[in-house]
Amino acid sequence: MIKFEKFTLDNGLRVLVHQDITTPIAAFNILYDVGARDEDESRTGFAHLFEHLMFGGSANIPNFDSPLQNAGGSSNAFTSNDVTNYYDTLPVQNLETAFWLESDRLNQLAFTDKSLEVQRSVVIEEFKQNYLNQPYGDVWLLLRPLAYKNHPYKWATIGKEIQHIEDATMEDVKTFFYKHYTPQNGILCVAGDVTVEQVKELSQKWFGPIKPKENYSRELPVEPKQTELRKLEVERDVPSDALYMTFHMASRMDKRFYLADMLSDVLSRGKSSRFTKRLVLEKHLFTELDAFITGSSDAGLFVVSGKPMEGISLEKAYAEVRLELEILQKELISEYELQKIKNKMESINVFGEMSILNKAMNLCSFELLGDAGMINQQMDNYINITPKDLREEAKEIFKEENSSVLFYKAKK
Amino acid sequence: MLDRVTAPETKETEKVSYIEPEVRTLSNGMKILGFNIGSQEVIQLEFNFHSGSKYQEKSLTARYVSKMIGEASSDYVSGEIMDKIDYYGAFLQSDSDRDMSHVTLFTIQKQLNHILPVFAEALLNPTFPERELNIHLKNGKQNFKVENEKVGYRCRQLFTELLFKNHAYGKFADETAYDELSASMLVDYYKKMYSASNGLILVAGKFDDSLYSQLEKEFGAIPIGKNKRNSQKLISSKAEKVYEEKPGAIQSGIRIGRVLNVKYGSNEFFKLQIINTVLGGYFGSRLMSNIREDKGYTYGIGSAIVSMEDAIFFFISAEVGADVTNETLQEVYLELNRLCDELVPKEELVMVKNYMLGSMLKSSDGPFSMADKYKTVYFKGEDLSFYDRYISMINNVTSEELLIVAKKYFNPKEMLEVVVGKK
Repeated sequence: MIKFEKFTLDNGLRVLVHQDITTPIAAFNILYDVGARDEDESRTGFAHLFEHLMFGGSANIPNFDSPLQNAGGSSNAFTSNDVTNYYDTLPVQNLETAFWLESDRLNQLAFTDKSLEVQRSVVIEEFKQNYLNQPYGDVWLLLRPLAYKNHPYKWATIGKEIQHIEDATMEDVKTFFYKHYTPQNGILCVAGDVTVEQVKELSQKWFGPIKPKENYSRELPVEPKQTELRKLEVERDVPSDALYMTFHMASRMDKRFYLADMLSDVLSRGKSSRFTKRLVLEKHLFTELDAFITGSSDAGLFVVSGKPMEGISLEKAYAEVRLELEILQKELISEYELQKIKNKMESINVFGEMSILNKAMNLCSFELLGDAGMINQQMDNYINITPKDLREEAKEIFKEENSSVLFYKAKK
Repeated sequence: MLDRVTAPETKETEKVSYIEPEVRTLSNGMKILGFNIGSQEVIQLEFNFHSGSKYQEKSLTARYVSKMIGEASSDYVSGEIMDKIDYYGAFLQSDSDRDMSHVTLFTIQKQLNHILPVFAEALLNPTFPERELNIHLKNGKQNFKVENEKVGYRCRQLFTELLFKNHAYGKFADETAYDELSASMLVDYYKKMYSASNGLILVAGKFDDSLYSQLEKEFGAIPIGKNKRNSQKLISSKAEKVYEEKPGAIQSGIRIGRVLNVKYGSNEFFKLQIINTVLGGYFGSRLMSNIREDKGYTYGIGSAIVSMEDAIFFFISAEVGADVTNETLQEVYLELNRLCDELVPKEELVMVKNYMLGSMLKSSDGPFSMADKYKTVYFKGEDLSFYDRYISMINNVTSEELLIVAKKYFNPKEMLEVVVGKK
């Protein structure tokens, strides 16, 4: 059970406080409701480039990191298709430093040409390092547009292509900032040995004076129902073939989300899971085989990815995975297997509460979905799931016409 | 009007609390260090053995012994143990580095009684079926081929081979090693190395005293065996520049460094840690500020000092745009020279000190981290006074003292340089 309190400033900033007296470290996490899905299709990669710029100095503070490091802290951030999340951890006695820094960059970013030029290069190097100069690095650049035709999930957070990042102008940067970086669009969580009063006072002092800006309402194109199997085959200079499959699944707030999540666990959570046990260890058809969900806010993807053993064709590998999926569509999983998955989830839940930063991040994510309190109800969503529920969901999700398949072939 | 220009006042981290473990011994002589300091209902139980890769005669032996523990045993056929571990919601992690092997169980408290006998069976009576081993080796070989395509991986390997030419630390498995390992080699290695005299148990989290008697019941039967720990003498390799071209690469992997002939836990050792932090040990470091935040040549660059039993070494590493490989090298050497020629400005030193103290506070937070901090120094013959001396050095060191040590160890002419990719 994670206890927390919530209040909202007059300018719309939502603030959560989680008291944990066992640690000398405070976590300051601030999430902005903006991700790659809010980008224009001709200017992708922007939310992420912007995250880099947020460290390039604000109106009153030329360098974000130096004062934080001086206070014994450190910070980082990540961007997803849905959100941009910034976090600082520091000794609790210096918590105010984080308030000062984070409020100034929300209030007014510095927008220096130097920062834009440098971070543009850094992001291009990041693009190369993780997506191009890496075996299988471009997989998501191929899979997303295959699985999504309308919804902006069809491009990756890093962007569709390097060109978009090269073309970004200062004007674009400013427009993006004023549109998305508003108090109403932010959720802050402070976790550590702090009181609600203390956080209230600091929030009011540093964030209170920031004026609200125009509300942004998200209107995203809806992804039409997929009605036929999509296939893509590419050849790359990699050591071995790889197989990728995606299936459309429910959005984060849908009850069916939990069914898909559990199905992915049945297939590949732990060494005794079906994929690992049967296809990797018993039949020895794959060197690795995983199933996971993207976990996105809007309707996401159920993904299967694997590398077939040398000598096993992608066609054969695909057929074997289909067989496993069809078993889930036809047969009920045993009570034992179901209990195993539930036990594992319970453990993961408890271990997740060990990190203060983890707790702060999760509280913000759930608040964004509608209510931070859902953090304590997560297990309930799984506890009542039955083998029959899972079979019904498997029937829906694993329809072949709901899937996209990528054969990633090694150049011979 | 709110003053947004002036930074709020900060307070230095004055002390970091490190906790002494409870020490117990099993009837077979195996030592237990217990950190009963958690607030969450979780337990980490870690078995450490002096059986890292430096002791093996055949490449990959140490790695696959630890990897296969928890898969099959005399009482359970392949898969049954894994199934039980998953069923009770536990996690088994095993790995092997150059000095040691570790087999670790993570469990929530309420499942402890169920999972402990399973874990004991896995650890005490493992079998290494030939068929499963062959599957692992085939997978391992294929993964190796994938990794070897990455400039970062290839660069690290080449650098380590050259740095430790005359030591087991410099030996890497090549593709053929995956064809030459047999199950009997694993069995022999396990019998020789996984003994009470050659290991140590670490337990951390929230538990009551009865856990120690449970450990006696389950693990008291680990054979006494012999302590295998030993050191190999290291002959320093020469400084050289090595370039391996990878056609078509759009980034190059860079690694620059050297062995540091310094005593672990000595004053010079601590000073080196501080200089390393200035150079490349945190986000605001000189390498990051210059090469990433000013020039934009890379997504990330950093440096580190690694302490192993037989050697302590320093390295800088980055993946940079192929077109700016030479420019990056030039800047790296410029930064090394600055370190040897100029005093670290007072303001910068203060920031580094504050940052380091904050990090020490962070990295010792929670029972698992605390156990890890203790273990790190324990195996190098130190106790918790190591951290007191470290903190006192951070608080008191001057730029003049750092300059002397920098000149002694960070001379660019004495560095090994490895570049893999395209220049």
